Amino acid sequence: MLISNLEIIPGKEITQHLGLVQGSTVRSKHVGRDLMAGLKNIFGGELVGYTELLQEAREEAVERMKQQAQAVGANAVVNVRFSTSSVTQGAAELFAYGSAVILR
Amino acid sequence: MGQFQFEIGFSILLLLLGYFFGRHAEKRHFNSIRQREEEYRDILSIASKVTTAEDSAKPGMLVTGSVVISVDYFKRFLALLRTIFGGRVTSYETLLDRARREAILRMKEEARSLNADRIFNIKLETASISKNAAGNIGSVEVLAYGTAISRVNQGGF
Amino acid sequence: MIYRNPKIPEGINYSNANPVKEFALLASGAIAIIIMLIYLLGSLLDWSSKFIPFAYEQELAAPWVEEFKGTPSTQQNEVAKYLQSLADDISPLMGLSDEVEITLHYIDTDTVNGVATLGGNIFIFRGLLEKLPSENALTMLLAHEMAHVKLRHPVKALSKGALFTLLYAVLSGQNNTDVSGLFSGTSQFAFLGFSRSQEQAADDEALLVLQKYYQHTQGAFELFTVLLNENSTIETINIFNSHPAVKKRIASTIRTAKVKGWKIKGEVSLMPDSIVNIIEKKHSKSINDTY
Repeated sequence: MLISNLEIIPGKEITQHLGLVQGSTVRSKHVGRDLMAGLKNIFGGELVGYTELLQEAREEAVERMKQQAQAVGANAVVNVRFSTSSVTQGAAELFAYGSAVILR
Repeated sequence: MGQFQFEIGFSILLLLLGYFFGRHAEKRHFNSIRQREEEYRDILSIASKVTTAEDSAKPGMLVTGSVVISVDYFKRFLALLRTIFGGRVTSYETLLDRARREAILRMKEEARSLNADRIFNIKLETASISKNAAGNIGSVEVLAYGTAISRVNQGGF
Repeated sequence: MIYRNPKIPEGINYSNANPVKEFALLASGAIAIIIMLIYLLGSLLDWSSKFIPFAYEQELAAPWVEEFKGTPSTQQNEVAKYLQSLADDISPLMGLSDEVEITLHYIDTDTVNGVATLGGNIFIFRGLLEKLPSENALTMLLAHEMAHVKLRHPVKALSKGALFTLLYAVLSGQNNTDVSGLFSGTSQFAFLGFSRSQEQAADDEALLVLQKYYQHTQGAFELFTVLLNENSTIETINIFNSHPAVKKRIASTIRTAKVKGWKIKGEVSLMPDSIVNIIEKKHSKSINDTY
């Protein structure tokens, strides 16, 4: 399955548009990680725990989007966009969506 | 300690109310979403921008759909517990799925009123609103927007 | 180019599982964590209580003690003086640390009770004193309460009470609870409950003192006999509720005495007549009042 945020894939031709597909997930880290991040906020620097959290969640969101694309018979998702929102404290929502297409 | 027991009892009552009413409302909403998705299946929603001249008989028109949905007390409490242990917050996933699909449907409704049959370059925005004192949100807003296009040259815009 | 709009299957972006199962799992986990935290914090407080200076305890207790004591009559002062001298006699045998200072108070009410509280203040109520058959039993009672002070049980109980108040404030989300007020609230002083293991430890200490002082332990049995009768006849809120069942205490005392080779029976000395008179007079007066 080809995932791209291009409109047109070079050297390929879109034969069918199969509509919008989306994948989303809400994830949270346990309290210990939240506390560590709180401490890290004093000194600055990368919050490794949260980087991991968002990365895992993003991967899962893409995975779910792929599942939807597969279910409608597409072989690629083009024009993919991500959005992140904090739904509740300590949890992050990752959302990925794009156009499911059949490429030739 | 009487006050403590009262507070515990009140919380349990809210949890039970939240559980039963929330579950009922969610089921009803999902049924309505499925039914309307069938109704608007002929309006295509596409995330790409590229259109061809033959696609459109008229210049496009921006259509939007938005919705604010709240999660029930039970699910909010469940999410709070979940953030202690970490992992997937399933109770908010359902909420967001409902909100997105509802927003897209409302956008399609607007497109239908314009006699359009395709929506290009759909974008979705999510915002958590009405933060309360404890920092837990009760509701999300989802906005869906795109450009509606009609292939038939009649009525509407 | 072809455009289609196929149906996307449900349940990819959310799960349809019943949330009650997840709720039960998470809630029991959270409760387990809270219980563990309370236990850990409690142990930490127990351990750290020995670093709380005794002088601070005294300062904390002073206003409440004044209020509770009221203005005693000369007769009451006499009884208190007697109790104090008895306590002073046995305190060298207790192995109290230098900073600890024991102060005895006599309260003229029917309550069948003896209370050890913060700052080494021990309250003996007439209700209990008039039932004690001998000075030996009184010595056992005093040694028991002094052992509580020696082992810092009152301050441990107080810090536990403060911990629970704090936890309650955190759990119920009340931000307006005055945390500094946790230690100064006077209502908490009156009924500091001790745990069963603390009572057992105090009993053991007291028994040892009794043996050292009289070379026999009959006073303990006399005290327990009084408590046994009390428990079966009166149901009032008193400190004996938290004490291990009296029969168990008797059995454990016999066991300890046997193991150490201590005598269970021996000569007992009575309380001085002057003191008995004061107590008895009050007693008959209160009966006249009642009937």
